[in-house]
Amino acid sequence: MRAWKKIMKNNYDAVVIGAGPAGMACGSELADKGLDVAVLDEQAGPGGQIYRNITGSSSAQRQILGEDYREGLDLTQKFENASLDYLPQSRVWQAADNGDVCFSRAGSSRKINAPNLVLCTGAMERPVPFPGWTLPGVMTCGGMSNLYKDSGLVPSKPVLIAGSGPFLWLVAEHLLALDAPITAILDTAPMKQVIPAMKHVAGAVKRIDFMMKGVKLISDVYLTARKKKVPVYRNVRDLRALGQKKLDQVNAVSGSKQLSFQVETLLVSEGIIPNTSLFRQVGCRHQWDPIQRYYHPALLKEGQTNFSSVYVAGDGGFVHGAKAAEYKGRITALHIAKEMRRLSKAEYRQQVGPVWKMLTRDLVPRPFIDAMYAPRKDLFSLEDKTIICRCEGITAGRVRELVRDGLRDHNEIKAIIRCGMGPCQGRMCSAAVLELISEGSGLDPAEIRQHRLRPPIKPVSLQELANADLGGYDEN
Amino acid sequence: MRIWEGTMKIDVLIVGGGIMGCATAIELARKGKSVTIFEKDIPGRHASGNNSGGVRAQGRDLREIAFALESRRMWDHHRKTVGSDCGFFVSPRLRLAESDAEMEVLVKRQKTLNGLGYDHEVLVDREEVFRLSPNVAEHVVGGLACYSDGLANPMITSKAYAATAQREGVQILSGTRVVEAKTTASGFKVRTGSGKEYESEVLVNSTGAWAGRFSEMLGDPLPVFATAPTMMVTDRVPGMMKGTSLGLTGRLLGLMAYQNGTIVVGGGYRSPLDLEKEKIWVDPMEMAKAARIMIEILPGLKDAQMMRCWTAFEGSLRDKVPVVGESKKVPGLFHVCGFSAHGFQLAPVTGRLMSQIILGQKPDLPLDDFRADRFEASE
Repeated sequence: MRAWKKIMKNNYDAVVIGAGPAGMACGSELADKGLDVAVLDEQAGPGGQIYRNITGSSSAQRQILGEDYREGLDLTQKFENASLDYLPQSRVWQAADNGDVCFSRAGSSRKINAPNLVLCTGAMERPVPFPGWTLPGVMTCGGMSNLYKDSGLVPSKPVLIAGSGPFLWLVAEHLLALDAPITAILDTAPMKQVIPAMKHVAGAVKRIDFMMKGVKLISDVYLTARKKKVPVYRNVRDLRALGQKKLDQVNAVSGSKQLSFQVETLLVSEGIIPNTSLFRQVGCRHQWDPIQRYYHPALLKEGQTNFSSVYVAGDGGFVHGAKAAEYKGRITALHIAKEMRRLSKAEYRQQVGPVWKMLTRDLVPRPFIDAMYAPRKDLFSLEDKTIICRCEGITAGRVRELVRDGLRDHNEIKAIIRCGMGPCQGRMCSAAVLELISEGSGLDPAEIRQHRLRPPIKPVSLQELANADLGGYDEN
Repeated sequence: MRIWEGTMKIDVLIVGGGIMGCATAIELARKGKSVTIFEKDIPGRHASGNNSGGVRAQGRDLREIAFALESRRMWDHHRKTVGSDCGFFVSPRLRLAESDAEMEVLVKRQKTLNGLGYDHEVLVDREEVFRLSPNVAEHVVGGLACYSDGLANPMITSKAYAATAQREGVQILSGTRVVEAKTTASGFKVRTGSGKEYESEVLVNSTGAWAGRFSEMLGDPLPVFATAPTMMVTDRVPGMMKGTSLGLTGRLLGLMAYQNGTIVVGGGYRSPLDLEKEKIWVDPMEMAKAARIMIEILPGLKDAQMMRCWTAFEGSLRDKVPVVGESKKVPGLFHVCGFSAHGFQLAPVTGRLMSQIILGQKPDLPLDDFRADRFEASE
């Protein structure tokens, strides 16, 4: 891994965006095949979200964060030894199918170009509006996990955990291990969902080791929670965060029981979805997944998008977890190496075969998990008063009015009421707006024009922009 | 209601559902004509709904001034004419001189305007510049102000025009591409992507960026070419502009002061495009050029953020004034295109003038400067 140099090249064989499991695996593999690679990473060090701060964490921290986290070490070490340009703290804000990538780093912006772009932007938590979700004190499980992974920060005041999905249980496990005071865990997954998931169980048991790991995770949390006298409520609905200027109370319903907690921190997670911002800005074609209810890029099996120059690897393409992301990153890299004639077809087949096998094996239980943790039906039954666009303070009711007026396109709704026009560029509200359009029009989300992202996908300061290196390309 | 099996006969067929097509349709429908608009996307998808929202009479080509001033009066009556204020508000437009030489240019401009009887652009000294816009850089020496200029919301405006047209009985066929248009013995025949055919005596070309291709299809090629004006908007910078929009004399920049504190930046930046693929590659490095000038003009902007940049397909002409009038080669074909990135303000008056010439009436304002055949002599 070559560190950022002051004079950097403008042209590469490939630019990889993101240094999580997919980005690291892809970058290392490309470099291994002799390609000239730059890896742009928003984080301060490699690892992505799942292996966040893996090189900086102590062995005690790694012990608590578990075996899965430690598995990232090998991958990270390989990446650090690879011969490539690694650019941490680089905020990519625009990419294009002509191979241009614009990013900001250390107070100035810059454009580089490569005939192959591999977008490994990973996953993000599904933003789900509910009453009071904008109050200070309400945060995502991911936000909390960043705090304890980065700096070992553990909440000292009681926290409440609410939501569903494997990630919620993982964070609960970590917090219990870190001795954080937890008021209660509210599981919002409806029991009914087990039934549609059961039809996938026969396939899933082929990976009984994996299934057992999941079962073990949840039962471990239950066990530890009982030991530590942390109540776990199931079938929770009607979550409500209350407070004037900040959170001080959370109400919910579990079965027929009214719950009320006095807490200053609520951690929520309603599952993980692909972070598609950059793909949508590039203009990649997407498709709708009716089970997980999210848009994901339409990809060929080696990760090609509808543009021959643009690839997607890892959870950004579809959420399959860290190991699968690593395999996908390697497969994409091998494919690019073959296209760039660094591998013969025979060599490619020989090298990609085992990776395919591992990926296929890893994906076996996925249909079961996806059905089991599909977003619950009432997730988007939003109250009119609930704010859905945090940046501009737009309520669900206001969007419903425009849908009643006949609007069917988030892009137009945005131009009229600014819903999705703020700094997050619609990252937080576009799923909710889509559901509201679908609810009001009867259209299937797949028939509704997707929210388009204008560049920059993240705000860029005018000074950073003015400092841009407008220089031309390398002379070669 | 019976279903038409054959060709549908309509008084006026309009190709292009942008603001010009809709403005023309509204006036024609109000005068009793049956009108159908073909729109390959949805009304306002391109330049009409995605421009910078400037309602500006300042700095116009001398040939356009009478139109711009009449149009500006009509902007005050949109609530009555299209049922919406279109998000319009007054934001004086101040064109800055950054040197004495530039001030000379402005002095000359005002003299020319006065000579023609126009007084909407007023020379202002340094003191008045700082009263209007207290945060501009020290090196500014004076300016030319147009106090009646304003800003509006282009998407709301486009939607209001399309909705009004529909209320007046105009049929807007969204998602309907015209694949063939030709002359017949009695007028025109238009065929859509789904194979439906329509006939009329009058055909209107309001196809914006596609006007060059469309006019060629009808045997009256216009030198309209597609451009992709590129704009950006900042985060909220309250108090920075004090409600005054800014332009420059010697450099490219337009800063529009929106009421929520955001600044829309335009002024002639362009991105590369492919009209066949209908694709634009937004060039952020153009915005980097704009950012440099912005910080020089308003130093306080260095901490502001670029929130979003965007572009839209627009139809432009070399001499930068539009074509508004009947084709000399193909009678019955009326062009309204080539507004070259400053048509938004002109929409209200253009709709009225178009309806007048289509109905064979004398237009309220002379249209000689906008003739379709004005390019032929120079070629």
